[in-house]
Amino acid sequence: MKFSSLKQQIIVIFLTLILGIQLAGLIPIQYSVDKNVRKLVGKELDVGEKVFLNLLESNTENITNGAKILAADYGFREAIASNDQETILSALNNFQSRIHADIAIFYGVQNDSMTVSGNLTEQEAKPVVNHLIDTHSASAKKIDFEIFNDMPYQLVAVPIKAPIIIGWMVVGFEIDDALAEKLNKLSSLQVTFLQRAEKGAWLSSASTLSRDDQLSLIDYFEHKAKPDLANNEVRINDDVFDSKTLTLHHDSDNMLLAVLQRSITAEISNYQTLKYTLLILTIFGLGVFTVAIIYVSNYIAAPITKLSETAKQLEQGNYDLTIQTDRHDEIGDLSKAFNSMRDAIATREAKVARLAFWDDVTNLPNRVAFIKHLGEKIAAHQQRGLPLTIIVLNLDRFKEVNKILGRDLGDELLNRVAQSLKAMVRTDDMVARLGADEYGLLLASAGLEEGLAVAHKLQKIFDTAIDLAAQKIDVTAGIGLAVYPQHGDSDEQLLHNAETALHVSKSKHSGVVLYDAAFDLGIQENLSLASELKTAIQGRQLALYLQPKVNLKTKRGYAAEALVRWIHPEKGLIFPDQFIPFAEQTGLIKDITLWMLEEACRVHTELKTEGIELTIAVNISTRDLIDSDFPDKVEAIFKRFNIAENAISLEITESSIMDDPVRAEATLHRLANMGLKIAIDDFGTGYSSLGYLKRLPVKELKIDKSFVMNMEKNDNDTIIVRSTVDLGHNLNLKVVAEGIENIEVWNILAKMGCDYGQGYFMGKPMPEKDFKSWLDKWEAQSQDMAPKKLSA
Amino acid sequence: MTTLADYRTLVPWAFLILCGVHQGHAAELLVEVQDSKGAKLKDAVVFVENTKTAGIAPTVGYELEQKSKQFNPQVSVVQVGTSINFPNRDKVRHHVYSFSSAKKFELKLYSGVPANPVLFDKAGTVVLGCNIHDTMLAYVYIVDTPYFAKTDSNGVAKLANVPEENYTLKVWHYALQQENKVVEQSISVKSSNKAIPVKLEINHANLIQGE
Repeated sequence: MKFSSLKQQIIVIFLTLILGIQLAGLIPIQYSVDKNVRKLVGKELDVGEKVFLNLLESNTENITNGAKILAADYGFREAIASNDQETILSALNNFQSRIHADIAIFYGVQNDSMTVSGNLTEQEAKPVVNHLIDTHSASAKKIDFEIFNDMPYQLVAVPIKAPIIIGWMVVGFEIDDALAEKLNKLSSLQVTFLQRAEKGAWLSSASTLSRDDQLSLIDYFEHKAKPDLANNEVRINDDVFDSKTLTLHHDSDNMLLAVLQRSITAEISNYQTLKYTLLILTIFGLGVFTVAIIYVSNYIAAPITKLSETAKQLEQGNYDLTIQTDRHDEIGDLSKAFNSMRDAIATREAKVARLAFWDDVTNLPNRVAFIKHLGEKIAAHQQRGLPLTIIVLNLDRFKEVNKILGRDLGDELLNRVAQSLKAMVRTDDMVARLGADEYGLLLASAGLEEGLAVAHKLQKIFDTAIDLAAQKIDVTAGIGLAVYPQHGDSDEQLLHNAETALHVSKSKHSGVVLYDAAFDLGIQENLSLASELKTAIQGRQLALYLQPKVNLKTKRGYAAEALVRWIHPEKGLIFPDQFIPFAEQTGLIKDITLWMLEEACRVHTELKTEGIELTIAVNISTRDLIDSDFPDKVEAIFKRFNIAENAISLEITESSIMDDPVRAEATLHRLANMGLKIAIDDFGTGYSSLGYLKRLPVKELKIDKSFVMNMEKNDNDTIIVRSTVDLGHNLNLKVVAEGIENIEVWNILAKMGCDYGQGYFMGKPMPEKDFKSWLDKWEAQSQDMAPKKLSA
Repeated sequence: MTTLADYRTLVPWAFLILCGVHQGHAAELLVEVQDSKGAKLKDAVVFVENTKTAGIAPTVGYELEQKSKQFNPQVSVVQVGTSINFPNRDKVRHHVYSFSSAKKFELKLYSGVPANPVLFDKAGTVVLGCNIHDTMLAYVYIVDTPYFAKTDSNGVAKLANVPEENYTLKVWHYALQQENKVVEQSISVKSSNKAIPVKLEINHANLIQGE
């Protein structure tokens, strides 16, 4: 049998043990009782035997004394002397009835006469009497038993003296049940007299046993060849008797036995009470022990069961269960260890969960958590018919920030933005970090209008620069919105749509953008354009446009920036915004750059033939800078067109340099060594360090149009521009201002000493064929251009 | 000092001496009685009989006293016709009786000397007892001859002045194996005779102790 639980095992083991001990105790007790009872009964039997013999002796003595009285009676003796038979017989009769004897016999010595009183003939009596008389003198106190007519008698012979022996008195008592009872009373033994005539069957003459028992005893003797006189255990019916057999009489004819018995069974039954008491005590003890064992096993096993239950709960992820224990033993230690293990697992799991659903940098939920939460919210809102809004926000140019300021500050920036965002929303809203520089906001229960309001509020966060490590950093962000249920009814779709809106916002710098189904079409358009771009490059669908740069001081000294346009056979003119990012991603930009260089060379050559010496600036991208073959390719083009190196200049953005500053620097040095003039484009929007810029072979800075466009109204922009101009000059660089749209700005810049200007005020980007006529027109009007007039 | 009894015992001796002288030669007869193992037997009664010895009257009475709750002597031999007196010399009273066929009598409780002596007129054995005191026992053996004697402690009986004739020698003892079976043998008494040895089968259990 197997017991699955520790508790059962403890109970079974200990109960078996205690039961075994109790039984092991009972067996010796049983044995000892048995042995003692037998010993006791044996002793009692010995004592009883003595009492029995003593009793018979004293019986004999009593009879003897009675007989002696008669024997000494003078008259009786006189009757004997006179041989008066009748008198003798009457005296015997009288005597017999007086002492209740069964037999009284007188035997006269002188004339060998015999007088018998009792149920006996002289012939029967004679041999017995002679025998008695013969043996009388040999032992003084002899108990004689004889059997007359199959009846046993106890006989006493007393001599009659006058004064020598003249005769004998023989007195006999029948051995009957009364005698047996009397003996039984005094000796406490069962007494049975058994007799047997020669070769005859055993008979019970008298007994204190029941008739059945007597028969059983007789049966025992019948089957015993030679009756044993020693103590013997005799089984009589259901009782076991310790028995002792005395031979009272044994001659050739008859045998008389006295069987003395004491019941062992009866004696043992006296101990039965003791046994029952022991048994009750044992059962009671077992009961008490069982209760104690159950208590102890509970005490031991219950906490273990609790532990295993708790372990199962742990397995299911329930870490709330605490095992209460005030025990100081091993179980207590185990419970405490278990608790601390559970805490450790819970902590670790929480950590894992955090890692899975949490962003440690911003201390915000991550994308997975956001989608999960969004899904839950949608499910909940679906039932209640509530709307919700998600806002996706992406920081502009975060990569540059990270590159330039280092990852720690980048993280700090992300964190700051996260804090600001969190401050803007309600508690049941969610702010998550969806990607490197992208945040997601879930506005629970916000509809379209509310969502837009929040989005615009968010945008205001970025109006002010963020203080970061003692630097003020201008951060802008694209913001996309999608509203449930209008813009999608699944978490994925909603998020996708919000990100599409974000993408639009980013690409157009248009701030808050609400998702529109049309965006998807636009994006598809972009994608198809991208696939067509390669053909476009080879199929000469691209066109080079020129935007003039003018010397602010002389109003002449022209140069131009080459800009690419895609003349799509079906869609017409496509602006670079729509395909350049894709070209950057795919690497097609390198082909575009080379095409631009070739085209610039060709244009330069053509204009030269018309007498216009124009330096054309070509934009080069990051991919060009990290391409170590790029300078060789440039050189090959120059050689092919056979033009001077100063005919073409290169423009690079700050950010393009920062992707791989080392290789970029090496490439730029090689290009510069070839005699190419290099300008930094969009200066002021990146985060390039001046120390680094100083090392580059740069000849020109182009101030970003965002500073220039509203200069006349914005003093800060003016200061920045002026500082940049001064900075450029101090570094011995020419400074170009982009985005000049009116005469006022022109004037301010001219006053500042800015070297060149570029903008709609002077001229929009134009096909090369239009450049001659623009030049003519500009020269015509610019000579009259006076600040006064222009400002008017 | 000579007592009355002494005188009485002297009487037969004197008579025998006279007779012997009167009838010619007389001799002294010595009989040595032993038991079967050769031990000397005391108180055996030895006497001789022939046709001439019966019917001779005894000359003198006999005294059998009771003293210290005992008969004294315990064994007596007397001639037929002897009167025996039973003086009680104890302070307690005695009840002397005999159920013997040779002489039945009883002297009911008495003290001192009874008025009449008891005449033993038949030969035989008389066993005397006291009805009060069971241990008192005496044997009186009555012979019909003047020639008798008791063995002394040496087992020797001396019969004096026995005429030199042929006799039947008889020996009796109270503890004979076969009760009252007198041992007999024919003898011829002569002066030159030596002591005659007689062996008796004795039941030692019946011997009176202390005698």
